[in-house]
Amino acid sequence: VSYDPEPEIKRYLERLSRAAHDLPRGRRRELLSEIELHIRMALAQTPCANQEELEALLEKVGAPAEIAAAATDQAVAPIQRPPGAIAFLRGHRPRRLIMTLVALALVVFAIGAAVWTQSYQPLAFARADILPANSFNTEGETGYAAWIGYHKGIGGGPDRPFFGVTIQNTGPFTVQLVRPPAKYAPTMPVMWGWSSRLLMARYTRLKTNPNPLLARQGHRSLWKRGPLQPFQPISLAPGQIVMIAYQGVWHDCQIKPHVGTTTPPRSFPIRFSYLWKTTTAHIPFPGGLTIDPPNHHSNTDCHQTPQTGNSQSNASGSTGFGQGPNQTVVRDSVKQVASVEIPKVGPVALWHGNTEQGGWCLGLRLSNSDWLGTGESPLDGGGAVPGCFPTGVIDRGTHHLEWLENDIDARRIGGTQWRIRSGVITVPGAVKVTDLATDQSTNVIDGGLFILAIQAPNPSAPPYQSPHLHLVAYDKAGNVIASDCLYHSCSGS
Amino acid sequence: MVAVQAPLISQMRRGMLQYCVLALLVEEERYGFDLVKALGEVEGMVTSEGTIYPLLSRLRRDGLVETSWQESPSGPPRRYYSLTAAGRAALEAFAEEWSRFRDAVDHFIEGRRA
Repeated sequence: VSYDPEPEIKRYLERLSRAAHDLPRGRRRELLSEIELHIRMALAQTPCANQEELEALLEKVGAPAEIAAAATDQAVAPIQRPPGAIAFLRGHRPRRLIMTLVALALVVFAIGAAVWTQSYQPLAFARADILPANSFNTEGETGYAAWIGYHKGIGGGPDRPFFGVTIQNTGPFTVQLVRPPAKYAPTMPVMWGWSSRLLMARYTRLKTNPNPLLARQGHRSLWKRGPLQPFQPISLAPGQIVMIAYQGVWHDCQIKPHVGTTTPPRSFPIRFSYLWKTTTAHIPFPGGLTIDPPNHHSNTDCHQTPQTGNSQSNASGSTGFGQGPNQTVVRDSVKQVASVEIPKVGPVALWHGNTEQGGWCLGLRLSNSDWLGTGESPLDGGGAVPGCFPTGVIDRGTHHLEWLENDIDARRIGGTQWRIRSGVITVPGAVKVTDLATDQSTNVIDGGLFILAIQAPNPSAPPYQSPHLHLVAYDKAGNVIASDCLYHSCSGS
Repeated sequence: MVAVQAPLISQMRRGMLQYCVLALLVEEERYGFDLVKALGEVEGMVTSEGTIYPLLSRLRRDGLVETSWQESPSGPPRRYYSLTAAGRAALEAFAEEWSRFRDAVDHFIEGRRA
């Protein structure tokens, strides 16, 4: 049987490879190739008949450690590695050095990224040379869009003040706007006297002004905003603009800021999240705000506005209404009194309660227990209830028909928009209520309550828009016993 | 008899060996195995044949020799080493210095014996 030297040669080369592991890969491969070739040439010249002869041949080639040492220039005088981190790195193979440096770079990068992310705040007020529609008396200095206005529409009747800002993402990354903690609204001094809730107009944009005369005068763009809807978290892409507003009713006539007063707040709280952090940025107003107080605006004179109203805490109370500053709910009186069926939405229940001060409370509740007008439901289109009001204030006590509006937007579930009018008739004997503008009727419940659902494909246009409303209450004999009309052609009726 | 310090001899051998390799390439190009055998024929020059290859690699990186692969009449292709101009100049400079150094050393050692 002939002797097979291959296993022993293989083991020798493996030992050499291990001994030369500090060499760069290319040099190690070249050395192994040269030595293997040398061994094969030697074997070709003098074949080995047994293990002893092969061992003698390999001994002549040299010990792997000795050859490796010669390749690393350590054959005679081993290198004395100097102490220290750099020396340690130098003493190791370059690949490890590179990996160490890369790891260090990654750690430094990660720390830098974390610090940068913690300080990242791309939100700022967007410029608005032209104020949003329906806001007209206040703007932040230098044209920045912080505004207080008076909004017609939702709520009907008396106009409702709102205070808002236009926010733009000026950074290179998308951030998520989230609802600020409820505590911020009450602590904003400009909101003193308000019961408010947070709204937003997400489809805010600048449009080219179609009026050539105004365009020539420098107003080349018009500030267009979408409808104010209950706030919902949204992603704000780079450059995107959104309006955020607190809307409510003025319930404290003791607060009368003077015209032209620079009034707090000096910043507006915006809560946003980016990557792992969620923080509240207080965006400073440039120079503060100069506001025109509401009692200087005819539609929001304190004598005409409700004394109490809905607040952010309304839906969190056990009664569903909470309580206004001047009204306290009588808990035992709270009950569901009626409901209407809305296609695709289901039943919308009318809840009613009395207050200790002789007022009344109304609330509208979906079948999943969400209250309309609170922003709880994605179907919530905003509105005036839930809330508690003194009797005779909503309609100034002249019409005996006190009503409020809420909207339902069911388009996202394949439905349409609805306007829900609910209210109290303060004279006895009413059995039926009709909206003459839309010719929709409903029966009166419990002697004085009603809920009227009107399908409104476009709630902001006639005949659904509040100024076109003409509500009439009839008694059993068909006589009109209460009426409220906002339509100009029936004023005085 | 006092033993000569092994590290010293090893360092001397290592220092001289590269010039011996260059000297072997003056007349003709050679492949690695051939060089190793030629060096091994002189006693005391090479203790481990394998250590020659790292030396050849360094000479090549230093530009003193250059290599080319050539077909072999038997077996795999061989890597042939030949002297570069720089290698030739380095060898000539060393030969001159070495001659003076060897004479100087001989002068003292032979003189002591005389």
